[in-house]
Amino acid sequence: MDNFDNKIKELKNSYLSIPENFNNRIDNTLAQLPKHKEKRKNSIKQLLVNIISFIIASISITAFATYINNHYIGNDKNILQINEGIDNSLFNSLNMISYENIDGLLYKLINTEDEYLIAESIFNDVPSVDFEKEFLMILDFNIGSTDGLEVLKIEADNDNLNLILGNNEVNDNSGKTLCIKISNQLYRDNLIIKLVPGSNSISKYGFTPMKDIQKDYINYEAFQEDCLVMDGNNHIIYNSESDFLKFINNCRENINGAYRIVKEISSPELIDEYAFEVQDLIFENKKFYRFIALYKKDDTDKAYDFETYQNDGVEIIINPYITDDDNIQYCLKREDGTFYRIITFINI
Amino acid sequence: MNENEFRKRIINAKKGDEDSFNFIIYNIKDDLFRIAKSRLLNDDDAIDAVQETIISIYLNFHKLRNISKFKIWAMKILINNCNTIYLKTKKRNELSYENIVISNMENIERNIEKKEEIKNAFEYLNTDERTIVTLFYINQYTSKDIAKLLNLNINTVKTKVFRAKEKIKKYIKFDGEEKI
Repeated sequence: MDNFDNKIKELKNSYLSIPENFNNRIDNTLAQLPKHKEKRKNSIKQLLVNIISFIIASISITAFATYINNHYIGNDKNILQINEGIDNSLFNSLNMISYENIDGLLYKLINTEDEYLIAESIFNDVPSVDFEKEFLMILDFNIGSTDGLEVLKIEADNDNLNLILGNNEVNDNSGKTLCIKISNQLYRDNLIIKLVPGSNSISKYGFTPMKDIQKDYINYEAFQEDCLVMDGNNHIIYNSESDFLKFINNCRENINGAYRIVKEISSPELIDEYAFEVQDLIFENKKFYRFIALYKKDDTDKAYDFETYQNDGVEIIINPYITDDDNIQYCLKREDGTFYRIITFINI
Repeated sequence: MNENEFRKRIINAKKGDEDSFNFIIYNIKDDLFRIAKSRLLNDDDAIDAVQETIISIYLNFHKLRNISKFKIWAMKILINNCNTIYLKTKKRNELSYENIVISNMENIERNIEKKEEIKNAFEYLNTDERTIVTLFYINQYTSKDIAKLLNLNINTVKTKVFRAKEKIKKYIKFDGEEKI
């Protein structure tokens, strides 16, 4: 065994012996070490510069892309892309069948259980839906939120499903979505969404919102708010026809405004149940929007009981078909030429 | 050399003392070379590996946590560098295959001519076996340190030492004039 060990150790002095130039090369290496350190410092510096440049470039590109997206291709966003923190891939999986963009308002229709399950996993407060009877519409704003948005009217004609939404101009960027259940009977391939001033937007003109009106409104607040107050026989109790004409003239000059008519109920079909009627006319963006609410006589949680949004129009005219000199009837004329009665003044 | 003295030098070198660094490098350079040679079988490549290792140790000294394991740490760096050089050399050799074959043949013939059967036997071992033999018999490392260095089980190291020894004995017995 000793013989073997000795033989192996021969390697140390022969095959594994240190070459003559080894020490010189090691000395050279040791002498060059500070240069290597400097080189590494420079490379780290360069790396940091590159990283910072990359970050700045990334931020610039992102900001530029966001700017382009917001200003030029915002209309191509789908409803879920506008919700921060929501996984867009999930929304893409919903495979949007159609979308509309009206003043930044977008919608998605949910027709199946599969779509519903995905939507439920994304949005909070999605109501339960019986898909045999109804379908769901999810609405959101491209910018802002659906806070202050109310459904004024849902109706269907032969071809279209018309959805009229009231915007009360409350944008707090909370990112909430609005879910609306709609009967399957109203389903149409085409959906038309119309965004109009909400019923609450009257408050900015100094009137109490319809939903907050109490049963004694006709006796007190209506006077304080300078409404046109009439009795059941169309006689003016407070204010005058000239006041109404002043409002019409302002509208002709494209001045946004609102006018409220409060009238006692006289119709025999309604008089037992209802006390008075409130009719709001809002003029905004060269259009009139008309709201009506009926108020109950008895104390209930909900003082009014009527579909508030009536219609919109482009002009207020005198009804040409009424030739009675004692009566002047003002009507709201729509774009299609039809018109609806607003108020009748009786000249005594 | 006193083990405590060596440790002090490592601590000082880590703090940036160049004299201490040179001292510890001079202390381990021969061991490094032999390990490199055992793996690369070529003086120039082995010296390159040692040089690269010295630079790596210098630039990464701050990463050494356990001073008592400095040698094992340095050897690991060396083995990594050897592997890198081996791969480069292999690629280079593949590009000039004929020259390598002739070169190897010349080496073996020269070794035979000089009756250096122990060298032939050594080259007959595989890379890990050569490294283990060098560490164990020449650099006098314990099986435990070799196991740590090569990430092997201690019993595996012992077995490999035994097998390498048997291989060398067999090679010399069949070829050589001298019987062990």
